[in-house]
Amino acid sequence: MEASQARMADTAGGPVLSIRDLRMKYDDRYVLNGIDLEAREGQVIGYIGPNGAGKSTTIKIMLGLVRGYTGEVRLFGQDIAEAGPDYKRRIGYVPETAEMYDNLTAREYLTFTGELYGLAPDLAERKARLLMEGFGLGHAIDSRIASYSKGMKQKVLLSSCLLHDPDLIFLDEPLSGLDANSVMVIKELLDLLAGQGKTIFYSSHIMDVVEKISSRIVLLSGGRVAADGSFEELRARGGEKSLEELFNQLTDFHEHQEIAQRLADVVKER
Amino acid sequence: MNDYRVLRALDRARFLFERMGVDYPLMRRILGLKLTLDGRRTTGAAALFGSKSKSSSWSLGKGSGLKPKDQPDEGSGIGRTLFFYGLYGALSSMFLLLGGPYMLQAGIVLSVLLFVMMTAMLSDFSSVMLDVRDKPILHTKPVDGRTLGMAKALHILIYFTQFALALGIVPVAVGVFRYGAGFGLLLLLSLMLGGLLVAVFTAFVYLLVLKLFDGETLKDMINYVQIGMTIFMLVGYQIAIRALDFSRFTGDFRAGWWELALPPLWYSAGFEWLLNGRGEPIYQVPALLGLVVPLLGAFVFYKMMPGFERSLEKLSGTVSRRRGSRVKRWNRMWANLLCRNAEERAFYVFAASMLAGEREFKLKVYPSLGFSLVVPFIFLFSFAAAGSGGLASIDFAGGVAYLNVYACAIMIPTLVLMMKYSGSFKGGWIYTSAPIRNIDAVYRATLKAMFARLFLPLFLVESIVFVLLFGVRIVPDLLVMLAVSVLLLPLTLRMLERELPFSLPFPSSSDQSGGIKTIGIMMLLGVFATLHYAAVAFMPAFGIWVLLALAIGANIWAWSGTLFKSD
Repeated sequence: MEASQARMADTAGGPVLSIRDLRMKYDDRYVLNGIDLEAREGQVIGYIGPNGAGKSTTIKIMLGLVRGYTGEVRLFGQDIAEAGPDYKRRIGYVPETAEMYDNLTAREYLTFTGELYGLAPDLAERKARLLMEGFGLGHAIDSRIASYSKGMKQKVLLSSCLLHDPDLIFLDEPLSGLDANSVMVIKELLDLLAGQGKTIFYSSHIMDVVEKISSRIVLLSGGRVAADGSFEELRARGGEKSLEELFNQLTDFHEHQEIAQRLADVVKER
Repeated sequence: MNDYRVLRALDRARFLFERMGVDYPLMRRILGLKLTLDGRRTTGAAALFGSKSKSSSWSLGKGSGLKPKDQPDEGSGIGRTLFFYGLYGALSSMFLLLGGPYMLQAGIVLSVLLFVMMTAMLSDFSSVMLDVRDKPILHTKPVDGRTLGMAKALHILIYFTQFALALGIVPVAVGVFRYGAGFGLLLLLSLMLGGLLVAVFTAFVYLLVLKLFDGETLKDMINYVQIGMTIFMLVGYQIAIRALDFSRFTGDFRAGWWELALPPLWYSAGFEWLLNGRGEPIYQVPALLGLVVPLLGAFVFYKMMPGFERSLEKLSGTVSRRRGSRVKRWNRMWANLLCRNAEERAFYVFAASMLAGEREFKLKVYPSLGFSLVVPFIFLFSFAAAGSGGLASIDFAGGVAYLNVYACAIMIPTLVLMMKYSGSFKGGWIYTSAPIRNIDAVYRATLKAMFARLFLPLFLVESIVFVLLFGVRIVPDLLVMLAVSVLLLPLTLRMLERELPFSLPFPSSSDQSGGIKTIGIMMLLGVFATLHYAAVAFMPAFGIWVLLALAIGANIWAWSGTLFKSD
């Protein structure tokens, strides 16, 4: 308990995450053009944007998966360029594609990742079992992940992301492959975790879900933050009804009907 | 993608395929695709010749982990592998310059070439034949079974003909130059038929295994079959070498029936019959066997192909077997025994589970384990048989022939070389997203897992047999050998390019031997064995203990310090 209180203390007043003028380029092409962002405890941030807007790159930079950026990224008050790997202990991550060492069993994989985050083997294994049982996968825990369905794999990823009780959680399309019932469980779970003071970055292309669960929405477009605020604030500014329409408006996209028509015409062609 | 010479040659036989009910244009498309894929495979042999180093995308150095290499590198594909096989062929053609009876010369060359083919078969061709990826991609499209079957058969045939040609081109040329066109042509024909025989043999063994076993057992069986075939092949060649005893090949040589049970000699019998006009049944029968058996086998296999494909489905099945907690406790125990901190222990258990579960890894590595198991014995008996007294000449009570156990360690370079590969290499993001303090722990733990899970059991079996043969007096020597083997693990790693374990895809083609550095490590092993011999010979009383102390000291040096250098 003391340890977790100490952990709270160092970010008490300040932001959990702060990014200043973040730029990143691949072969002369900038994918991030100066991002400024701050996030605080208990926020659920819907992190959205069109394909190639730089969402994954920002997340990967924060995780230390990508280097060579300019600007400043501070997590829990520490500059990650100077910090050792320890800040990662407080981060949980669900990547977009369900890539795992899938010839391991879920028990083996989860125990391993738990240990990597500093949990004792027994504790890691116990929590792994409990999480898997909680997700209704207790029966499959000793089978190879390779034999799992997409949704089951997603649940393993979510378990490995939460196992070590992280303070900052990055979720990239966390609901993909999950059935409707599991989706409801996850939404509820995210709410509870935010209530515990965790900061959640939720990246997805499914706008209705983002609209419902986020307390704040950050829209990235062309490597810049195009909009930032609660759904109500954004709606007041744009005057649109749904987040989907807002998304279209903010990313300057209006010709969906024309494009669909053209595609339909091609399908017909013989 | 569709402009291969092979395909244009096939076009001429188009009517033949169409008469068989094959959708020719479609089959041509599929074949074109397969050939293109072959061309893009990266090969271990190719890596020898300095192609660009492909670093894992999870490197901890500078630069990004985001940019995969998406331009297919056409240059480093099958072409280089073929060049490599051509080199083997060129070396073997030296035997054609020796002179002597055809039976001897052709026999040796064909033995060598078929040996190379068989190894290629086991490591490389197995993955082509047991490829289950066709199912979801091609079988969901409107393509009929006959066309698919023919495309697969032709692909295998083309693939194999390429190898046979690359291997055979120099020996055939040398044969034509030295003994005339007849000899060269016969050699080429023998090589093709011999290759087919090897292919059919492998195919039937797999067919049998696929029929007999199911699910997970089947997948494990495949690995054991590979070990079994490796041993079978090695022992078979011991017999072949005996058969080709030089001293017996004087003027009026007569072969024994038992010797002609060996396929390479079937074909050399054909040389005696057709070129030297020795029409005795002892040459005719084997030569005809060499013609009929592969063709008949190929025909039968073609007929059984649909059944084979159906059995293949078992390989991709999702019937999963639970992994018990006994293994887990076992792994934990070793981890606690061998590793110093929690991080390393976590990686040890991870690596041990990966080694146990990674099918593709087993497919590549297990043959070399089988090899390691028998090689010490083969050396032991070969050296003895080469001497005058035969097997009886081995001095079990006082000799040093037990030093052959060193040969057991030749698998270590292969193991270390393979540790960076995994079928699920994309899971490697975990290395960077997790707060790993000391990346060295990853390497150390993986090496230790390889040692405890793969090397130690084999070494113990080997040791027990040798102690039974040579007596308890060799136990200190075995300890030195063990220490030297353990030393080789970090030493090999230090010499090779370091990539995170299980972080790169398998190069899906032949020859994993990994080049000159591996040969260097083998030579190092030879140096150790020589030192050992010297110590025992010149300081019989205490030399072995000095050596043991030195080996342990070297281990302490090699295992400490940084194994991983970023940048």
